[in-house]
Amino acid sequence: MYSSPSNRISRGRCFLCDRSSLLYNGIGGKRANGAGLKAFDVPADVGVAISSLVLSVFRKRGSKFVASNCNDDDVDKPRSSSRGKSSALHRLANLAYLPSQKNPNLMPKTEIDHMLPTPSTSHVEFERVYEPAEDSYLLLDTLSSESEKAFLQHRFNNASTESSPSPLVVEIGTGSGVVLSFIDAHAEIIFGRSDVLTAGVDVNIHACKATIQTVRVAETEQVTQSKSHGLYLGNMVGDLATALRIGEVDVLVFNPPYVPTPDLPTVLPKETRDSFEADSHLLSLSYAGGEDGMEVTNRLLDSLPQILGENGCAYVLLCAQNKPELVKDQIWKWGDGWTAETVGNSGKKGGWEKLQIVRIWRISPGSAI
Amino acid sequence: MKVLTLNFLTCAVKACKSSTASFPLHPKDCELVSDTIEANPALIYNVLPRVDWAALITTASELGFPTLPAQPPTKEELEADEKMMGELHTLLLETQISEGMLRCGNCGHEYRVKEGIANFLLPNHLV
Repeated sequence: MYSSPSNRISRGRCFLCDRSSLLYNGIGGKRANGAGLKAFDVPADVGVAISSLVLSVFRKRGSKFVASNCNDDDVDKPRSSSRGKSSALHRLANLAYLPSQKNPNLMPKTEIDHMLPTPSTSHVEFERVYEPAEDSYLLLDTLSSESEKAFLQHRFNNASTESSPSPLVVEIGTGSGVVLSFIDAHAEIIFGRSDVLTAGVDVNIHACKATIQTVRVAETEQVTQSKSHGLYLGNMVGDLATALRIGEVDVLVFNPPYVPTPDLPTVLPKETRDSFEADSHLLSLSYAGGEDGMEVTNRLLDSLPQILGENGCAYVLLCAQNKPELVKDQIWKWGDGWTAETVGNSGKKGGWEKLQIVRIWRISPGSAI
Repeated sequence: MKVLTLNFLTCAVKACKSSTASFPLHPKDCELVSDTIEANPALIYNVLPRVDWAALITTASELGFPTLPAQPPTKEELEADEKMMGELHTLLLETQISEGMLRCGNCGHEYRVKEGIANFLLPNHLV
């Protein structure tokens, strides 16, 4: 039996030093920043205590630990992680633990046969690049779901026609690159065609470098298996979609900084000699979302009608605190055929945050979808 | 970043978006690297219809590539013209910008490209 979702503090064992220690088992996803410890469902003083403990371990050892899967929901999910944007502890120190790696019940179920493999990100420096977590995996599961494959293939796979322009997929905020490399590597299965152009933007230069490497690894893996992949154009450092030419993007993917925070971090890199402070700032850009966790997302949503091409659509991840129903209502109010629907859901009941993927697209006149 | 990327980018300055001079960005002092990619005519055929050809002509000439024809070649023309196919393959699929600058023709702002990554973050006074 695993710890219940509400019981997130337990004893665990570091797999490197094999030392038993008090630890925090978050559920995954982005949760709170250092200033927002009250947002945890553990008492603030306990949170601070754990924080300093975890931090000191990190400072001393600079080591990385293995992820745990500590609640029932996670174990039922093929892709799951308790790492993530979820907690200051995980963010700052990038620590997650296995309560007992030897217990097979605590390991994720083996991947179901039909599932597409998750790209490897083991080369990424998670001290300053967001580590794939539940939110990332929800995007992978949603984009490779039967319903979304059908939607994307209907929209972009016109193989029967003489000339079928290659779709352009742009991910904003690529982080480790796990989502973009997944789309690139499995373009043929998702889109029904491999001539898909992919590109990424991230405000964090280290995330851009990580993504380039992750895509390279994923493409090489595809080639090794004599499988196809898309055409990856590259990664740019940028503020959301500001450098994109108007009306070019066919599929935009965005896993935003969605955690409600009192302030927003500045977009430009922090000028500091303290590398830990600089890294923390970079990580904060991946989760700190300001009011309702929507300040950054709203800026991106506002630009969508310009950025997306005629057939364009966007997949945006939201958490319950972002008030997704309200967000979708706003998009419907854009008029001009703009539509928003929830097409993927983390399905968590006990979780502090419930995640969903909203698909935003324009219903073209005379078309059913 | 592949040269083709320039076909989908503009200056990040808001006021430049409406100006035709902000597209394409002009490569300056660029170092190019080339990946070897297997010939893939089907990919070229489907990439061409979504390329802004006039912008590609500008980019190709600024990077010192052979002059492109005034109109994009049709599939039939490409099938018959191995040389043209090879040049487009090199330009669109294989060539990457690794170092240099990208200059906006409208405001003159230069974006740095380092290790193949262009940086479009603007200094505070331009945001």
